[in-house]
Amino acid sequence: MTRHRHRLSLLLAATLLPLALSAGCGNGTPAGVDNLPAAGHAREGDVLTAVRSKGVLRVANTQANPPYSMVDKSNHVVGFDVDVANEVAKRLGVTKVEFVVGTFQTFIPGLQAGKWDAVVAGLTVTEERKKQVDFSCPYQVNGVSIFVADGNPTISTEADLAGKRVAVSAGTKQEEQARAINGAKVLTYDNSTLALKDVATGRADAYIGSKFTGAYLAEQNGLTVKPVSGYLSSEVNAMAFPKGQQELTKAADNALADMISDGTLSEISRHWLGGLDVATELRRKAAC
Amino acid sequence: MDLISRTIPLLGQAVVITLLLGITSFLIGSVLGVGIALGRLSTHRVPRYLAVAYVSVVRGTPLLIQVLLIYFGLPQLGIVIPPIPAAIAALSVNGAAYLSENFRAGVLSVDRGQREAAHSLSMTYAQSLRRIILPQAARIALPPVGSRFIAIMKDTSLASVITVFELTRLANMVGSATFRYIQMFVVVAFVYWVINTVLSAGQEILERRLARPY
Repeated sequence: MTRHRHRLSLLLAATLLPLALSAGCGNGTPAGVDNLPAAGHAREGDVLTAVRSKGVLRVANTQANPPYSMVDKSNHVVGFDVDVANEVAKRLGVTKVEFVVGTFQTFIPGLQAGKWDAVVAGLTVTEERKKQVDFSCPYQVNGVSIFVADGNPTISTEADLAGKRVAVSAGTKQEEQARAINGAKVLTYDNSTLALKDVATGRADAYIGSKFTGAYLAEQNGLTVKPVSGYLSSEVNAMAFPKGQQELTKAADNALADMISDGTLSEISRHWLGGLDVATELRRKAAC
Repeated sequence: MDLISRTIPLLGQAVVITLLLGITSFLIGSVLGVGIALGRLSTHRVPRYLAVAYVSVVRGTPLLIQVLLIYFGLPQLGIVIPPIPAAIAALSVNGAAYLSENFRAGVLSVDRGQREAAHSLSMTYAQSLRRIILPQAARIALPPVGSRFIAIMKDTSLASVITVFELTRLANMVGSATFRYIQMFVVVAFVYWVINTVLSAGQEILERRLARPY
C-alpha cells in the first residue's frame, strides 16, 4: 500500500511540472516559460566576418523543391535558390557555398542554433518570422496554387477544400493557410515532393504550394497532378539570416540589388522558372 | 496564453491517436509474435528458417526505414496504404519481431519436464501449449513484453513523418508556429511519460497476479 502512495505522490509532483511551465502566461509575471527566449540569440560575433575568413557560406534549403532546390542526376544541388545563393556568396567575397538540407520546420531553429548562416529557400516573410530572424530584401515572388490529381473535377476553388484532405509542406505559410480553411484536414509532409506525390497516389485530395514546383514535378517527373486555374495567393519570399546580423543582411541586400540591376537575377529566373523574369515582378510588387 | 489555447483543443485528439496506434500495434504484434515464436520453435525446417529470417531482417533494420518504406515506398509497387494503417502495419511488424523473441524466451524457460508430463497425460501439443506451457511462459515473458509495449508506445512518434496527427506532430506543429519549442516538447514528453507510467503500473499488477502460486 505504501508503494502505491509513493507512486501517487510522484505522479502528483510530476503533474505540477508542466503546469508550472505553463504559468506566467499573464502579463508581467517574471517567472514562467513565456519569458524564455522564444528564439535564442545563439550567434555571437559578426557572422559576415566569420564567413569571409572561413571562406564558406552555409546555406540551407530543402533540396526537394524543384525547380528552386533539387538534386540532379550527378547528385549536385541545383536550382533557382542554389544559383541565387552562389551568386550572392560570390558578391560577398566568399569562395564556397556549402548547401545543407533542412525543412521549413528546421530552417529558423537552425539559423538560431548556428547550424547554417543563411536560408535561401523561398522563406515567406511573415511578422512572426521577422521576430526570429532577419530577412533580406525579397528575391522571389511566388504564386501559390491548389494542385489536384489529374482528372479530379471536384475542386476548383479554396471553398471546395472544406472537408478535403489538404497536403502541405510542414512549417510553411501554406500550412497556416490550409489550417485556416474551415473543415479542411491538413496533412503535413517534410517537403513539397512528398506532399504532391500523395496527391497523385490519392492519399490527399489537394496540395497548396508553389505553382512552379507542382508544374515542374508534373512535367519532369510525370506526376499526375494538375493546377487548379488561378493563383490562390502570391507570396513574397526572401533570404533569412540570424537575427541581429546587420552586416550580413545589408551585404546580401547590396548583392541582390546589383543582381537585379545588372540582369543576373533575370537570367537565373528565366533559366529555372520557364522564362519568367522575377526581377520585373519584384520591381512591380515587392521593391525593397 | 496563445500556446495553451492552441494546444489544448488538439491535445485530446492527439492522445487518442497515439493510444490507438500503440495499443493496436501491440495487440497485432503480439498475435504475430506468438506465431513467429512458435515457428522459430518448430521442429520443421521451413517455419523455423522463415521465422529466423523475419526476426533478423525486421530487428536489423531501423523502424523509421520500415515506416517510410511502407508509406512512401510501396506506392511505387502500386500499393497505396493510408497513414494510420501504414503506421500500425509498420509498428506491428516491427513489434512482432521483438515480441516473438520475448515469447520464445518465455517458452524456453519452462522446464522440459512440463512438456513430458503433459505428454504422458496424453495431451496434444496444442493442449499442452495452451494449458501448461504458455501460462508458465507468460510469467517469464511479461517483463520484457511490458517493456516492448512501452517502446511501441514511444515509437508511435514516428508516425508523425507520415502525416498522422499524433502527439509528436502536434508538438512540431505548435512549436514551429509559435517558436516555443521547449514548452511544446516538454509538455508532450510529459504526456508520453504519463501514458507509459500507466502501462508500467498495469504491468506490475499483472505480474503480481501471475505470481500467485498455482
